[in-house]
Amino acid sequence: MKSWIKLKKNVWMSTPFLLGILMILLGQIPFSLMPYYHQSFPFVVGLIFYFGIFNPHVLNIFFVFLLGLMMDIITTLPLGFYSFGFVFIYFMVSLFQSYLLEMIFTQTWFIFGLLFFCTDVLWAFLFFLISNAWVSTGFWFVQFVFVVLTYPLFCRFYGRLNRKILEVQ
Amino acid sequence: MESKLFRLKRIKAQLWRFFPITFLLISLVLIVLTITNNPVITWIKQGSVSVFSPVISVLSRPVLWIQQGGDYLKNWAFTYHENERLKAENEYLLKWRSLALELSAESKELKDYLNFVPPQKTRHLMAEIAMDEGSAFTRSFVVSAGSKQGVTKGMLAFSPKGLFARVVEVVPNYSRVMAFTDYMSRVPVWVGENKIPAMLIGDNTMHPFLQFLHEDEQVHQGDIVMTSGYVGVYPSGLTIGTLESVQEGEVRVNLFENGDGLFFVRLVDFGISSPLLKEPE
Repeated sequence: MKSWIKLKKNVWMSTPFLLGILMILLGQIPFSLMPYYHQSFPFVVGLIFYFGIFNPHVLNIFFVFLLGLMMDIITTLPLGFYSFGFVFIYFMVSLFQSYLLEMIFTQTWFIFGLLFFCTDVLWAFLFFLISNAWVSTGFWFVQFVFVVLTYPLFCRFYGRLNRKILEVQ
Repeated sequence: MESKLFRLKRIKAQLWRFFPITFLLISLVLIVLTITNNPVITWIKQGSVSVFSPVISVLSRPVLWIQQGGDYLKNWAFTYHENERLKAENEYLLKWRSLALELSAESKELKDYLNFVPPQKTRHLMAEIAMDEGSAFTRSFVVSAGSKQGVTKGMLAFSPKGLFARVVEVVPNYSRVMAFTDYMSRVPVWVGENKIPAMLIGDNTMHPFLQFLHEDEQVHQGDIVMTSGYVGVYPSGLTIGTLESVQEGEVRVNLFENGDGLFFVRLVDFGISSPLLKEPE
């Protein structure tokens, strides 16, 4: 019975990481969210941001780095590109976690937008260093807007998941 | 004893603070290793295609069924209009057919006269798109055919509309195809009837731009863009688009196909054996 509870706890604890993997994989499906072109979005940054604030024990820096590596491995971009951005977000969240915990949702949403904007700029700069070409602003902007606008939707789900995890924790 | 434990905990906490910085540094090192074509990193990246592609293929089934169902309903609803359009197109193409037959006979006659040696026959195969890696930074696909099915590096990918990509990575059951719109793509091309040489450069937008186009050369909107065959990676004379806009300092190309919304691609081997296509040892 004890081992069953332990297993159940471990399964719930690993859910955010597994969810992150699933989100990365689903992003590669040849299906277009946009009317004319396919673009996969790094929705997983919302997951990293949320659990970085509310439950950093279940999605620690190592798992965040692994998620980034997986994204790098799947795409044609150099290894370390996405992981750098993901770890950066997690690092910033961990620095200001105590402040973020006290904020109301709209404020955290704004901070998420700001942080994701900084990460996107960082990615664009890294991309320039790697390829000597500036990222196309259209796709870049669409990526930013889409991820930030859908954050509240994902947040509702993350909230429920986190409550369940805290129960078993 | 307690103070020792406390000290250990404090050291652990301090080390934990440095952890993100360590991971940031590891990421930067990995980027540098990838850029410098480290063989281990290349091996990992190639291996990942074999591991993740089948998973994504399975995950994408329901989505593809929905999309195909939607297409079926759309086709069913617009059958009458589609039929009318096809009739008009058929009428137009019949005129071209007679001209093509005439030119083909003339071409054969001239080739016989010149003792022309025909180029090597091409090899075709169809492959399903298993993964679409389109993002703000890349434009590439993974197709479900690899070296076991006869795919080789350098094969060209066509859609019914035309050429749009090239095979850049091959593993036993899957291959990675890079679209001409990808930031890494470089295609030597000719522009217009005068075959003005230039380089088609992808920048992740829908309309790649031309570089190394001589300033004195006159190009116009609507001019045909075709592969030139320079460097030996592409055969010459394959049309890929038309000039979209010609502005001071920037010439953009409207590709016949950019690869979006495709389920299948036709991979064609033109029998090109350029040293650029060989894998580094």
